[in-house]
Amino acid sequence: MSVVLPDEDHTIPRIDFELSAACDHKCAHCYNVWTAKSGDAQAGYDIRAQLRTASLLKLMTKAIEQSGAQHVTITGGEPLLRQDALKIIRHACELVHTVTLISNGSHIPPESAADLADMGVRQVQLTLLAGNRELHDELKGAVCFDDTVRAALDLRDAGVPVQVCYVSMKQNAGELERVMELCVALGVKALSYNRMSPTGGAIHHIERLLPTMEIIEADLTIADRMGRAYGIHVGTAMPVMPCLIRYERFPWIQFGLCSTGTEAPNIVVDGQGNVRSCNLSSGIMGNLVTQDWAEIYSNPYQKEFRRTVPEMCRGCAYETTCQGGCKESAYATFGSHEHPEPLLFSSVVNAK
Amino acid sequence: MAPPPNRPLPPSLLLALGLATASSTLTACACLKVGACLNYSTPHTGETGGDADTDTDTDTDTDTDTDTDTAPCLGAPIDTADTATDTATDTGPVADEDLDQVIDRLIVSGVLPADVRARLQGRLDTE
Repeated sequence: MSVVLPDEDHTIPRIDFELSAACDHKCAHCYNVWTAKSGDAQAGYDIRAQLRTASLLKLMTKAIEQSGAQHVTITGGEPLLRQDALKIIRHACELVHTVTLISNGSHIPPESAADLADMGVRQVQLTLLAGNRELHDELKGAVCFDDTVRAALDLRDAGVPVQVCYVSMKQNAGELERVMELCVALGVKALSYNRMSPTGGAIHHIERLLPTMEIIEADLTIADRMGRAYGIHVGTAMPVMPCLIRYERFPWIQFGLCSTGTEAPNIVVDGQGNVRSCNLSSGIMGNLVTQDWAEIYSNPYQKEFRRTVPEMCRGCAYETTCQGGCKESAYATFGSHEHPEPLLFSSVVNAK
Repeated sequence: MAPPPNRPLPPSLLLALGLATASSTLTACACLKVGACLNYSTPHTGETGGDADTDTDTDTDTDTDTDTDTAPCLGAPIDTADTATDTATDTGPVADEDLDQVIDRLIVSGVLPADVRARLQGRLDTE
């Protein structure tokens, strides 16, 4: 194997690994690109040939050594459906400073929680969509609420901090307060607030699920108040664009914008070694099995992506930082990175 | 194989990952109209700071406009007096309920499975 030392041209601080495309939850809002349907812009993402354990460990080592990443996020699908998941996570912990696991919460019995603590996993992200099991399970398409809260408590008792992911949708409008109360009870100190990501198969449920800005604003008001009151860190991963809301009204909340093409991109490697600019993107920049990191990273996808913004965003003070929100959701939904993305479209263009 | 360089993660990434507590939040532009204006065809004119200061606007107007009531924004006008001293490091308002009260109410509500309720109750009893 060739050795390519990281340099400033292609070094990144973090990298995500999609260990498995499989998942036993059936969320209508699932953003994974392989759930896109025939005819969709993101259709045809091939997930058939997942790497076996030895090959995946080798690939992970190569990715981390060549990219210089110091943080790894393990995600999926549901990563813990892989029988070798804990072995792979342990390997990641040996290679980098911090490892985060994103799980659907149905596969973390107490002994696994203890294993994750032993490995030094820095944080596990679990999803809570509602403050009651009926609505949560309905939105997840699985009986999983009880397992999720048990996992949160088991992880806490094992010493692994839990971050709760809350996905804001029309169908769970008004549930954030109950979810944050659960966070209080379960000892959760971090909340990732994400409005629904309209990519993958989720684009077929936009009308039914995409939250309005009124819902998002009400949520953020609650998150700001309760986060501050109970010491729960709140951040947003899916961008809420600064033309739609005033960040200064929510000083407790850390607003995130699209990171593609920045110094800290959210680059993801799937279970076949394919590298994409983020987990919402279906555009493959290269494959780490056959290519080195430097070659993949030099793929023009990120730069071209960064140059492309909706016409309506040209001239905005936030043009270069906001980029019009989530352009991958624009591509998934409308077939173009230049089209206003669904939240922008529904809130501004379509509302006029 | 060369080991990965031993560099700390940038604070912004730690924050984004929820691995650190915010000591400061994204600073909105001092011009409250910027980025919150629906008149997209007109470049902003009053930017004096913030995170988005990367455009090529040559306007030298440094007016820190606070006339938010007239800004054609989607977000509700804010009371700058209320937020002027607001920072993420505030200890914040006193919670309506303390932690034990919230947990106690959740235990009673029956929302949580019985074994989880028992564990939380046990924790309350021993604290």
